[in-house]
Amino acid sequence: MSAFDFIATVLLLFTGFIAVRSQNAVHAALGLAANFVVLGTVYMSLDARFLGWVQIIVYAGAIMVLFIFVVMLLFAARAEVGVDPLPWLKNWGAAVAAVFFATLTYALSAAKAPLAGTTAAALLGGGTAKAVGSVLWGTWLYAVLLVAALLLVATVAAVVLVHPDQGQSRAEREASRGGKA
Amino acid sequence: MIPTAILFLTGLLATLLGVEAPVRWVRWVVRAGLALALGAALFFGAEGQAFGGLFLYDGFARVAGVVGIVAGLFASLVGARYLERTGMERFEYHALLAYSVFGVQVMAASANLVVILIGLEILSLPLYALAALRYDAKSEEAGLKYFLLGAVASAVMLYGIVLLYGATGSFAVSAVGQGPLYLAGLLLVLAGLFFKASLVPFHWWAPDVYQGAPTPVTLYMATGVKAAAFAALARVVVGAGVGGLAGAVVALVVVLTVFYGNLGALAQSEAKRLLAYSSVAHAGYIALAVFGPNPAPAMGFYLFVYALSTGLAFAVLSQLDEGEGVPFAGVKGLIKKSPMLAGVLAIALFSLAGMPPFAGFWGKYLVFVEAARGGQYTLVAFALLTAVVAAYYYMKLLALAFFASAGEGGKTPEVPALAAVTMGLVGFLVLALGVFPGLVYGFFNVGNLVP
Repeated sequence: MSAFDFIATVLLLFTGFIAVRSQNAVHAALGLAANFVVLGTVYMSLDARFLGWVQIIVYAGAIMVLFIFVVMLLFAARAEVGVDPLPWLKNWGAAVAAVFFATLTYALSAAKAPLAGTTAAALLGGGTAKAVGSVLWGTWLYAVLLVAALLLVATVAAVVLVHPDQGQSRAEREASRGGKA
Repeated sequence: MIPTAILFLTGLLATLLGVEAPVRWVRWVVRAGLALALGAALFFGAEGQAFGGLFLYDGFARVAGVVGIVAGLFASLVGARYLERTGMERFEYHALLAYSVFGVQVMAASANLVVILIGLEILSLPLYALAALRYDAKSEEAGLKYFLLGAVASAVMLYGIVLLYGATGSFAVSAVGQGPLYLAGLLLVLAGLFFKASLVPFHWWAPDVYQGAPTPVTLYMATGVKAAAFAALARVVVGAGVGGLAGAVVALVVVLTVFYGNLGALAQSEAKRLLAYSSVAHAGYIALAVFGPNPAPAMGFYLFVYALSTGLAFAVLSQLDEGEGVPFAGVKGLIKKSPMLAGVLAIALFSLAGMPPFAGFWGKYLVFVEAARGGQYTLVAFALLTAVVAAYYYMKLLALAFFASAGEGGKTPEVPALAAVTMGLVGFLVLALGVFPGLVYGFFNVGNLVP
C-alpha cells in the first residue's frame, strides 16, 4: 500500500462517515461530494482517466448540486431528523456491516485477478475518452441504448408521481368528477 | 428483437400520444401494442442474438417474454373498472405498464448480467410509480416500500456483479470462477434476484406491496415480474451450476419459502394479502425446477399457468375492490351476487391449489418431477407437504365465496363486458390446459438456459 492509497482510504472512510452520520442534510451532502472527488482521483490513479473526470463532473458537480438545491428548497437542512422508528436496528445494521466488511476484505485479499496487470493495462488504453467511447459504442451499444430507454422510463415515472393534477385526494377528485357529470 | 421493439415503441407512443389525446385512446394503443407484441413473439419470434450476444433471444427468453406480455395484457383488460372506481386512470398508467412489460422482455432476453440489471431497472421503475398511483396512504406506503427495498436489492445485485467480474473477468452468467471472491459475488447477485422473485427471506416487502398497490398493478406484479425474475435467476443458478454453492443456497431458500409462504397465508384475513403470501409460496415451487437436468420446460410452463391462475384470482378481486382492498367479508356470498365471478374464482383457486383437472396441477407435477430427476427427493417431499397446507387456505377462501351468507350491504359488483370476456377466456384456458396440457407444452419445451 503506497502513501497515496493510504491517504485516499482514510479520506474515503472519513467523508463516507460524515455522509452517513451527519445530522445536517447539507453537511451530509457535502461529505458525499467530497467522497466523490476522492473517488475520482482514485480512478485517475488507476489509469481510468475519463471515468475519474466523469465521476467528478457528473456526480460531485451536477448530481450533488441538484441534491443540495432540493435540500435547501425543502428546508430539510435542520438538525433534527425526527424520531427514529427503529432504534434497535442500528446495532444490528452495524453488526451486519462489520461481518460484510470482514468477509469482503478476506475475499478480496484471497482473490487473484483474472488478467495479469500488464494485459489489463494494455486493454485499458490509458482510460481516455477515445478508449472508453469505442468500447461503449461498440461492444456495449445495446446496454447504452437500454440505459437511454431506462432514463426515459425514469423520467415518466418521476413526472407521474409529482404531476400537479393528482396532488388532490380521491374524495376531491370524485367531487370534481361529479361536478362535471 | 421484434417483440422487444414493439413494446418499447408502444410505451413511447403512449407517452407522446397521452399528452394530447384522451386517455381511452392511450388505453387502446397500449392494448393493441401488447397484443401485437404477443403475436410477434408467438409467430415471428425467431431465435437468435444481436449486439454481439448481449441480446439473446432463445426459447426460454421467448417463453418468459410471452408470460410477461400476457400478464400486462391481462392487467390492462380487466383493470378498467378498478381504475375508474378509484379515479386513478391517467395515460401514464398505461404507458408505464407498457414500459414495464418492455423491461421484462429485456431482462428475459439476455445472459449478460449488466443487461439483466438494466432490464430489472426498466421493469421496476414503472412499478414503483404504479404502486403509489392511487395516492392514498396505503398506496404510497406500498410504492415507497417497494422503491426503497428494490433500490437496495438492485444495489446489492450490482455489487455482486462487480465482484463476479473481478473474480472471473466476465459478465456472462455462465462464467464460473473460484475462491471466496467469486462466491461472495454470486451470493450477492442471488440475493438481488431472490428479492425480485420474492423468495424467503427476501420477501418482506411482498405482502405489504401487493396489498397496498392498486389491484390490477398487483396482478401484473405477481405474474409478469416473477417471470422476468425467474428467467434471470434460472440462468444465474444453472450457469453457476446447481451442484455448488448456488444450488445449496437455492435449496435452503426453497424450503424457507414454501414453508413460510404457505403458513403465512393461513393467518391472513384479507384476500389480496392471502394471494400475496400464496405467490411467495409459488415462487418456492417454481424455483424447485432449477434442480432438474432440463429446467426450462417445467419452469416456463409453471410460470405460464401460475400467471393465468394468479392473474385470474386478482382479476376477480379487481372487480370487487373499491380501492380499500378486499377483506374476507367482501368475498362472502359471492356466488349469490355474481355467479360468474365466483365460478372464475373457483377455477383460479383450484388451479393454484394444484387440483388435478386444472392447469396448476400440471405445473406442480412438472416442477416436482424435474426436482426429483435432479435427485432432490427431500425437497420434493417437503414441498408436497406444504402444498397440502396451501389447499386449506385456498379452499377456505372458496368456501367463503360459495357457502357463507353475504351479510347486509353487499351490493352486486358490476363487471364490464370486456373484463368478463377476458376472465371467461382465461378461465376456459386454465381448464383446457388442465385437461389437454399437451396442447401448449411444445411451446415451453425449449432447450438450454445458458448459452
